[in-house]
Amino acid sequence: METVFKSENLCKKYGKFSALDNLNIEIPKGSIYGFVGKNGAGKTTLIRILCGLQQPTSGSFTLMGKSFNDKEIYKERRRLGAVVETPAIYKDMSARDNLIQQYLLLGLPDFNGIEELLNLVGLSNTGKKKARNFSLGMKQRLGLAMALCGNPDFIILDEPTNGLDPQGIIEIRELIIRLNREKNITFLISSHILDELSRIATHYGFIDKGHIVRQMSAEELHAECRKSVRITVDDTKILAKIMEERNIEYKIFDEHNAEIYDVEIPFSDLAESFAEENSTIYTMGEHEESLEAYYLSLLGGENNA
Amino acid sequence: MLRVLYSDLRFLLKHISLKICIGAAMGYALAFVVILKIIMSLVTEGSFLSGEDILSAYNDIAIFFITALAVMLFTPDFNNGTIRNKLVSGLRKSEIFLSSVFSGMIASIIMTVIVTLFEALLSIIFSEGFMTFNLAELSDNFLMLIVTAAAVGAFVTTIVLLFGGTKISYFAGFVVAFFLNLLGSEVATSLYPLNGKCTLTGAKLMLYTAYDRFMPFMHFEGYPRWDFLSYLTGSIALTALSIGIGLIIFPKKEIK
Repeated sequence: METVFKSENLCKKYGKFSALDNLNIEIPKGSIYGFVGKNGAGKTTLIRILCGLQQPTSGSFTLMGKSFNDKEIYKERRRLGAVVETPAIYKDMSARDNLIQQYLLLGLPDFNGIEELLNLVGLSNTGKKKARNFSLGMKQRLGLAMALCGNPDFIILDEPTNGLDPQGIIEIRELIIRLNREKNITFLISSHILDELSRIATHYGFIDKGHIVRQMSAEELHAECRKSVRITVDDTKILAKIMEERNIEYKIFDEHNAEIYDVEIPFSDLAESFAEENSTIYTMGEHEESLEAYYLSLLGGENNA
Repeated sequence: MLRVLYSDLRFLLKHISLKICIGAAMGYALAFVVILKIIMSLVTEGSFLSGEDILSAYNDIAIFFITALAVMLFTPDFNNGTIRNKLVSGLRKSEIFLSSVFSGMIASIIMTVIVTLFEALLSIIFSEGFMTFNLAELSDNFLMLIVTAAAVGAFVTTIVLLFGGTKISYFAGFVVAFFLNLLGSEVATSLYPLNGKCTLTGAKLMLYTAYDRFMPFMHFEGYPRWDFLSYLTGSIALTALSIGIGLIIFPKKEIK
């Protein structure tokens, strides 16, 4: 498998605190890699190291095949585009001027692609309006446009949908999918909106306390997500009794609603057991565990991803 | 390197900081002239304002204006995160540092040239003429001032960049500028007392004289006292020292 980024036992310490602890990660080329973890799990630290903002304390990584201690690695970063934490933009400049700055930084010969980029992110009608006066969503779009300057091969987006309205979220999602499919751009996306991430990611990396707990493809995740049956009954105490007798795993939500984790159980069997207990099943439906639920089962977090 | 310098220069010309600092320095020079004129007309009978007095208005506190300019130009790079774009664009930290220092030097020169020309205009309008210098000497002084401004620009930009991303970056330059201003006054008043002779002797005299001769900040203290070569040597040394220290520390600095 060809990778754009691969780390081995990567560590980053701030004093006694280990932000990254023997982190091993592989980001396949052409993937949309969903990077999931609690606040403070080490997502941004890894992104910072990847972008060259910080140096690892120990361990190693390769970016586009170049080792982290290769003096020429900075050249590979020209093939990167990144929005880290907040969009890095010149607030006293218009959207167009910001993109010109980025074009100059990249040493691009002309500014021909700027109008196309502004159209792509929906900022073509902002004129001379300074970025300072942009809404958070507009700043986010401008940050994305800056990351797209120079047709990068690998784009890193830290919370790309922050501040976007529902329409904006859909547009950014479609843009990411389009760029990934049409231009084969690899994306590393860290997002708190797991439902949104699950719509686009082809691969996932779950990080906790500075190390990768699990890496998997979207297909593997789908296969691993537990299916369940959501059930509404007149009394969940009776449901609990029946499930205990049958040795079936279950979870009670309230006195009427529960979830059982055996989707193969015949409805007629279950209905008969309830009838014997003079109890009633009102509704029953199959339910697939979401990325959010899988995340919680994997990392057991109460904090945000 | 050239691409980031081009980008930085475009930024500094477009950014409002340069205009604000130039405007403030010109406003200061104008206020200086107006206040002196008023005081002279009301209090001091028979005194007059010379062109040299007006030309020294900006020089006396130029280091603070240059520091303010460096702070306004380079702290946003850290606060807005635009320095991240530079690193992700495949630039080395040393290139980013050098480009910023050169931009700081150019910004200082632009401000100093414009404000000095404005002071020259004020001198023509409000002063009774130049009492000490002829045109050739004024041109010499102007050149020395430009060289000094460039060196001071490199020095304060280095300070701002080394502390960039922390709150210290906002006032570290001003603290250093204030300290150097005090030191400069002490050296100048000790070497050239208003009343009586200089009483310094031995090593202290040598140190004070060397400081007065080579330290670029001293060129802003009153009238030029040394030859151009001394000013140039001091300015080049300060610039080289600033860049040298910066090139050692800045590449190791972690960017937030």
